Amino acid sequence: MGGDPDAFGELVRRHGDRLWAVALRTLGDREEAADAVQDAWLSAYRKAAGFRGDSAVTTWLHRIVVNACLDRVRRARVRPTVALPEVGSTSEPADRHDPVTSLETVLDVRAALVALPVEQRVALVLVDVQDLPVGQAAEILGVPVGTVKSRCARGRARLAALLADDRSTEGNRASTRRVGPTGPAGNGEGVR
Amino acid sequence: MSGERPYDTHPDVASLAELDADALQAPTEAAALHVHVASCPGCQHAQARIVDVRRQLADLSAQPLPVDVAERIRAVLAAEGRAQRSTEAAAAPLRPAQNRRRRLRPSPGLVAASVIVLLVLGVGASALRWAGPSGSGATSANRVTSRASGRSDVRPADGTILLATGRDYSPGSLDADVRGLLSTRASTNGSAPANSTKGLGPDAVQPGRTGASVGTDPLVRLRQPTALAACVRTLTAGRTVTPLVVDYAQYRGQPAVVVVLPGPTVRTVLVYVAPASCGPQHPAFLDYHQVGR
Repeated sequence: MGGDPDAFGELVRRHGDRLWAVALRTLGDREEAADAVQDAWLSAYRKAAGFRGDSAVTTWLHRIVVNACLDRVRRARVRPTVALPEVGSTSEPADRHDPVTSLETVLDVRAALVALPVEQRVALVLVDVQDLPVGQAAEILGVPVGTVKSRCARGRARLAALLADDRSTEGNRASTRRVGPTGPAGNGEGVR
Repeated sequence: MSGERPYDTHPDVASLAELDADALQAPTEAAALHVHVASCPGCQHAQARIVDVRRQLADLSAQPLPVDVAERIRAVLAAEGRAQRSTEAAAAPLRPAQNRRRRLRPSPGLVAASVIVLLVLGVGASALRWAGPSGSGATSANRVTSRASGRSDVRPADGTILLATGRDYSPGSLDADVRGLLSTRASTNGSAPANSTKGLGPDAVQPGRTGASVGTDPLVRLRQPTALAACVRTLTAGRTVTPLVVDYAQYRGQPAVVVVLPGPTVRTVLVYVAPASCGPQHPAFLDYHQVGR
């Protein structure tokens, strides 16, 4: 596989969509995601000769893409920049064929996902978006299974609150951060 | 609230999410939460919202790789494959110790071509340089000899012509621009081309330099010999190849370095365009061409 563009082309065909989704959902920006997957595939190509098969190819590739994304997030933290608006390439195009209500939801979820801490975001992208087993996500991230579960739980709770806030702002749904015996109520975190 | 339940108040959403994710540490806590939720409509509602979040996230999964991004990846991989083959061929006789990973025996023709490259690099390179320590017509700013020459830890700049033309290269003009660069270099025989007056040595604080100030120059990092060396090694997949020319310039309006390496034959050079971030942490390059002289 190493050094063989044709063999690697087959890998791109097999895994390209999934890895693109990981980068896009993790970074939330089309151009950043494009740069990340380009970096990742080039890195994978160069490392292919050293791939020993200790993990599945898909796990190995996911790990490289996730690391490429995390590198970009960390660099952005160190050197914050303001992206110049560029017609037609600044953000991911909307799903044109979705019904309006569904499209709004999708956009809300995308925006809320990007608002999460990156560790929670990556865990949710792998487990919920990509539907990978928690164990495989843990292997990709190099953390214990319990850590992935915890990050997912915190991320889902935060997403639920963010999405509820969005909808309550729109007047479509009451804020439901705190739960009570009669249903959603209050605006703070519940207390045990 | 029932006194049988340990949760006298309602759990927060995070606890319900942990229950949903099987992330609660203590089994007793999970069991108590289950008991509470079973008789609490509000908690059931909140739990349903967690499930709803999972479903909404799953809806984001379908996202085909865009054609333009796929094409970028294909081009980068193809270029990398060519670059690896070319640098292996070019570097083989120069640095035999680095060729332990080679899998193919070089053909006699390849050996002959490499010997010619060796001769050109060893004998002709200095003659082709625009300026050297004793070169005529070059200012101190566009002197191209690395200050680090002779230092074993800084090889790429050793004998490399370093320019800062500021030219804005583009995919369509890259080949012609590099040919022009090389022909100008050869024809001027030691004189700097007109558009290299902003030429800079590899030292970021070199006296007499013109052009962008250190503070605002996005390529300032790559003016450091070690950073440039790391960039070149990254471009050449870890191999130490001495560039013929490095131009601190732009590519499609963005700061970039154009790195010209010996090609697989004496009639060709390999041209990499790398971003300001070039290095082991950012191995991507912006463009790659093999250019005939």
